[in-house]
Amino acid sequence: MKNEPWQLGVAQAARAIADRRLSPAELVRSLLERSERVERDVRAWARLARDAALREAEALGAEIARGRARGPLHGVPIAVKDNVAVAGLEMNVGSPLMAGHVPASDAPLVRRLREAGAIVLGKTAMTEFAAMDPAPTRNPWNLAHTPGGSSSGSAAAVAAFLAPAALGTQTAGSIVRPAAYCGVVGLKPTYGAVPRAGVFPCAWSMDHVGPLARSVEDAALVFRVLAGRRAAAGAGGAARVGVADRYFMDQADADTQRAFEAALQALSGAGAELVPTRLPKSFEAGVDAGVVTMYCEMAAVHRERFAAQRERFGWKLACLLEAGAAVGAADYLRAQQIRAIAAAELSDALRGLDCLATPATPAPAPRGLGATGDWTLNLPFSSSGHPTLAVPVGLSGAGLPIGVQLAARHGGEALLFHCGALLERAVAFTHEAGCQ
Amino acid sequence: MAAPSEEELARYRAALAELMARCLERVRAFPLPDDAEPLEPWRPHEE
Repeated sequence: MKNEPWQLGVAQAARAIADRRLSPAELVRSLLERSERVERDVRAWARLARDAALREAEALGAEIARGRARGPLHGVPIAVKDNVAVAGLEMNVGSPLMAGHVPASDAPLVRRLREAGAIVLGKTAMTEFAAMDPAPTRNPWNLAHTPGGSSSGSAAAVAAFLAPAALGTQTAGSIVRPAAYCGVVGLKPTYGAVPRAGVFPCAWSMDHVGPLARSVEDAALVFRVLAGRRAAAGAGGAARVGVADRYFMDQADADTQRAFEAALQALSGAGAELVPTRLPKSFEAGVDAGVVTMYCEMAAVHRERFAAQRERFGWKLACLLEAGAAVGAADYLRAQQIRAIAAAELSDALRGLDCLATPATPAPAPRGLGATGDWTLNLPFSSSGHPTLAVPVGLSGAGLPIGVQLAARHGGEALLFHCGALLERAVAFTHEAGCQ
Repeated sequence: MAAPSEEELARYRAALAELMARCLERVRAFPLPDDAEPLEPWRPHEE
């Protein structure tokens, strides 16, 4: 590939802009031109904010020329999932029911991005209300395959070099799964680490917001802005990486098992200590409780809307809402009791480890665009609130990306970045190979 | 998204019903101590 601005990652772009080797407007124009060439195939965008992004880029360029940098993302364009409020930009949450809805103000996390100098490039396509009815987005590695969901457009946009980073949300597996399917890095932070105000809910107690990018460094950079954190010192040295005794590998196909084993070998070769780890007895119950919680809360989120306009909902979501509405309050509360126990026991299992490594998905992206794949390996941590990071580690026999999921203790994002960077260097995944 | 065939809809509903029944059965069977309190998800996990 030629050396074009659209190829730059977040940190690279930020450095080029800070050094005045590249203007924010040149970068935005390059990305918009890239979208014009590729979007017809990939369909990652719900809508682009061309004029606003270019205006903002010119203003940020003028500021940097005067020697003023707003923050670590000065002049860097970011794609925002269409369930996050951006002032003046229509937000559909992947549903015709939300047509014409234009938020009056930015979500607080978008304000944080802007205060750090980021530019909102546009809104990315997503499954309907972040559930199971798919977006029109295709996997950039093979257009006949799903990019995953619900952050379909965010993962595809980053994989296809339409944006250096994107925001996603996860309730079951909606950041880690599409990141793995599209061969990019995705962080699901600790529950509550990134403010959810201004984000349209899917299921409140399991909703997380996090970044997708093409490197661990870039995901960390965006996360720290979203969470209002400084770079943590101390996460370094030899990594202790747990390997689970069950659940994850039991569900993985042959390609995924091979790629996962190779990734563990690479980590070990890079100096990591692999630690056989027994998952707590309550682990599977935490998953069951998460499923009950998720569908029950989804039914509550859409109760009035569903009663009044049932026919306008996607058919899969309609089925999920009916199932969730049938759950009684006592069962819902019992699920919350179990989640508290399962999360605490999983925290005990993670103590003493820098992270737990698992396959990110049972298999690479399935063929077809009618379904968005399997969140089974991601939901345990959406239920428990522990942070997870998807890192691409290899390709299947059919040339589709395969990812590893790293999980850490609550608040352990710096550990994930440390282990993720180690893994990234050890496997040397090439983003360009499938994304011309 | 195109409307599903009756067969496809029935298959999806059945799979979902089976999943929910299985999850609820396990949730109800899980041995909870008397003092188990529900997760308070609106409070971020302690770091």
